[in-house]
Amino acid sequence: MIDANAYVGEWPFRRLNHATPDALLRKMDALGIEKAVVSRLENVFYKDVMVGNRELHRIVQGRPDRFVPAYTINSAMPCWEQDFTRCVEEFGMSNLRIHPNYHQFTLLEPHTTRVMDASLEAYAQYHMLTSNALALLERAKAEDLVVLLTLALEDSRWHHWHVKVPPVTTTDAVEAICTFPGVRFLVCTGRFAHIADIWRRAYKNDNLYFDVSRVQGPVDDIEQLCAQVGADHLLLGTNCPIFYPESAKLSIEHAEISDQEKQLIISANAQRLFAL
Amino acid sequence: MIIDVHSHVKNDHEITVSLRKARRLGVILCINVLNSNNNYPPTLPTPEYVAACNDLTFKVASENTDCVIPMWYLNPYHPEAMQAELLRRVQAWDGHQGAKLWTGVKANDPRLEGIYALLAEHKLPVLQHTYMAVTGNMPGETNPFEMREAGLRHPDVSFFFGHSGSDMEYGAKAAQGVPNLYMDIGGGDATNGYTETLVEHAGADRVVYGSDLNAPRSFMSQLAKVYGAAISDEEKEKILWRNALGIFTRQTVGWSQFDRRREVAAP
Repeated sequence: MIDANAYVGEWPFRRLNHATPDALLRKMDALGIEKAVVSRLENVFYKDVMVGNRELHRIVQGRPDRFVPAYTINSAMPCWEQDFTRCVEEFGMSNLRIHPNYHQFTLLEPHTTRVMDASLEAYAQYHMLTSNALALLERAKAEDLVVLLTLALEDSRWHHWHVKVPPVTTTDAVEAICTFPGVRFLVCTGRFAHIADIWRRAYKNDNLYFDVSRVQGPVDDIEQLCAQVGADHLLLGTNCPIFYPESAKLSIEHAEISDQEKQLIISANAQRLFAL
Repeated sequence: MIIDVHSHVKNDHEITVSLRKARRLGVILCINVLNSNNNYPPTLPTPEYVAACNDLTFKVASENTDCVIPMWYLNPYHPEAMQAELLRRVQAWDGHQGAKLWTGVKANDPRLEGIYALLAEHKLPVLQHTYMAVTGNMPGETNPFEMREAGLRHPDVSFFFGHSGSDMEYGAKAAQGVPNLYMDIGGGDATNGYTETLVEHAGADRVVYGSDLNAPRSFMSQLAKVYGAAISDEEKEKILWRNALGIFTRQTVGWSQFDRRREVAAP
């Protein structure tokens, strides 16, 4: 079993279970998860993401058999290109984690809403992505990285009074996916409705994958997604330690789908996507 | 056995799948219907709309007495009509039952006094929706402060504290020292630490399993809050069914069906 979306680290607003590498490993052992794709959770809030990336590199080097790193880059910060280069050259980055909402580099230009209301021809004339997002995704494409695009980390209605962060919109995600059809995107923490919406609108979707960490309803959510999106585009992800990892694991195990589909979701797709 | 104190259905597909999965998992569903027309539920439904919702609840419960407990939906914006609706339903149903309150008025609103009196008289629990959104609550939506006030003012009513306030830290703290508030874990993401927080502040005797099934939650995402929690097996058993069963068996009406079930279950 492979967890395609997890973190190691602390969260500023409450104490988390399984925040340390050892605690996460114990939980993985208890659930039968052999490997986890992990990012440094502190990098959601650190302005200098290289601090968290260096820590992540050390953690992963300690257990390369269990952890697969996804390094975080914030293209809204000066000289992010140098961070990117160091992650590739020093850490051997193959997986890139982006948090456009927390890092304030919206994927789309402000005129998006106006353009979206216009005709299809008008829509096609605009480059919707911001220059930062374009440049970052161009680099990801050139390095053949898997891009973990995280829509949200927790329900924004429960955010801290002074740290209210709206989720990345499905329109942002669709625009990035359709502009870079050659990039392998793993869209993380989409709800059932988000995934269905992105899949429907992303007309170039061969390289599009979703984790199911936040697919938490309706009653036959996994079954419906297998029918709509296909089991070969869904991956077990837990969003641990923010979520109980049992949620995604049990949802797949108890879904009324074939054993072959379950196998794809819990490991085979991740093995292929991350070349494990 | 698992008792799910908080589940919804709104169309034939949800009813079929939910009941099939509930039977497979050994779950008794406490079902309430907020929207019988497969739409988004109106926040201030008319008495006729409420009655139609409860007709569907009655139908589902009648056809599936092995795994459904009806929770009669009420909109106390129409207090007299809703007292009559509750009385009618209680008299017509022979078995475990309860009431459901959503966003008609807040839990501490005086228009609920008559309904609370009926619930206390028959020792029936009520599932009260609560929320604490930093982005702002809906009009009429009860927050944890108001839930606490209602619980203190009506110690003879057993409240299922719907979603535990959604933001569990608000809910857990609001329930402290109010023994008739039972924390419903249903709804919301499977946030790590959710159940441990409730157990720490309210105690395992006052936490109950709910799923918020189909609104839009699933069984497993919410069961994960129990199975994944760092609490004892005994505490998990209390949350999954013991606490809820203790509350439902207090009721003073509609006992014959329960007696029949108990006789069938006896060796």
